[in-house]
Amino acid sequence: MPSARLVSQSPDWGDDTDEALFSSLKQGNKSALAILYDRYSRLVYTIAFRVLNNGPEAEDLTQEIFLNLWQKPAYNPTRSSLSRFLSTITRNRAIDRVRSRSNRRRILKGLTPQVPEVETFSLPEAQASQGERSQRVRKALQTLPEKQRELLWLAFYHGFSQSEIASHTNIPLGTVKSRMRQGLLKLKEALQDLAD
Amino acid sequence: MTSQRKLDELATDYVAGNLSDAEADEFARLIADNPELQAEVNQLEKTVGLVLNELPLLTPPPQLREAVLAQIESPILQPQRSPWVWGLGALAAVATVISLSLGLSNYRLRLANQQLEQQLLAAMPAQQAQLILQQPSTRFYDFEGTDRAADAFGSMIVDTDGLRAAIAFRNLPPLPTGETYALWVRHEGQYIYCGEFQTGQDGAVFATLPMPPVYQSRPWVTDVIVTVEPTQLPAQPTGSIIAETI
Repeated sequence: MPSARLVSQSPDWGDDTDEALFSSLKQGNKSALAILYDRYSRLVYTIAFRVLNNGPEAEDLTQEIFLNLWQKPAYNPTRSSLSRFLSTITRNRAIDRVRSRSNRRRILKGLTPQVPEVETFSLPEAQASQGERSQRVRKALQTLPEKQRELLWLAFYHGFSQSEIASHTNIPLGTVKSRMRQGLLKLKEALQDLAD
Repeated sequence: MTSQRKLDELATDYVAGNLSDAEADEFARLIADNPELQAEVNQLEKTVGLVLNELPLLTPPPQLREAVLAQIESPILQPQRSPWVWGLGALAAVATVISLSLGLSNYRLRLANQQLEQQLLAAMPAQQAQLILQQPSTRFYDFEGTDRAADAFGSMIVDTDGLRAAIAFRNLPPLPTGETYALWVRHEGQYIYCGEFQTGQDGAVFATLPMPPVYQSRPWVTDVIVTVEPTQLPAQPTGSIIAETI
């Protein structure tokens, strides 16, 4: 990834929950989409870019994801959090595009499709926005047991589904679920005052 | 009575996207009359938000936000992606090369269009050419330069199912910093923004752009223009028209 464009800034999260914003969006409130875009466009774009390895295609997919959220939302708030939904659907759509691209290349040029590699967990080097909150979150992440942290990383940062994680890590599905639970709860406890 | 431990598990599984169908039904029932469970979910979501903000995320170009918000002003139609979109770019490039070889006059350009399809089919891999022929939703647009760019001309091929276009122009003068070429389509008395692009030093453009849903409306939109605009794009075209459909 182009490191010059890596950022670790914290946009104001605001008071509205994702659920309230999604409900408002479904009623036609355009500003709700704008807030959700500000909240999650970096996540969506990053996952898209990592899979597609192509800026314009990642932009195109990011646009598609948010327009779909507005036009024909497939998100069901009773199934999962919005961040999880967006990361998973972005990864799936990006992989569809890679497959489609690979198939065409195979047909036209006889090339073998390439599977994007998965990076392991790493935080960017010190950034300008190293405030107290940032340091607290980083510390909480670093103190999380690696086997819990990696699973959360695969889920939220890469958009893997739980069955994909189980397959990728060769860890039983039940263990994947319990480790993700433990990791999330530990993070919540460590950051309770910040998330209030 | 559901235990606190069970509630915590459901809340984390929900946020992590790990609920089974049965658990999701149970969760929906529980959260409906349990504000504490809702608060727990909200806190977990905020925790995830805090963590995401520390991860090495890329920032999309700022104009993407404007593009997304501008598109929701357009008629709501669901874009669909067709598998041959990426062939469009190559087609537009070939179209431009063929157009160049046929000269710049509109008459000859129009005349050339009839031959163009046959030549394109001959130029492209058979499978791709057949796919394009089978797409009734493909729209072809030809452009001529106005007085401000008399030698300019171009082609645009739009996949109206996938809402993607391949564009190619020749002889569009490079613009100074702070200005950009913008593509607009006329619909119901208004112009709808379709995208922006820059030329190379040789005045050539070759790009693929997402298109607004108005390209799916009937009757088909026909009037497309290219204007010069400030990079802070206005809602409606304000600059000179450089090229328009013929």
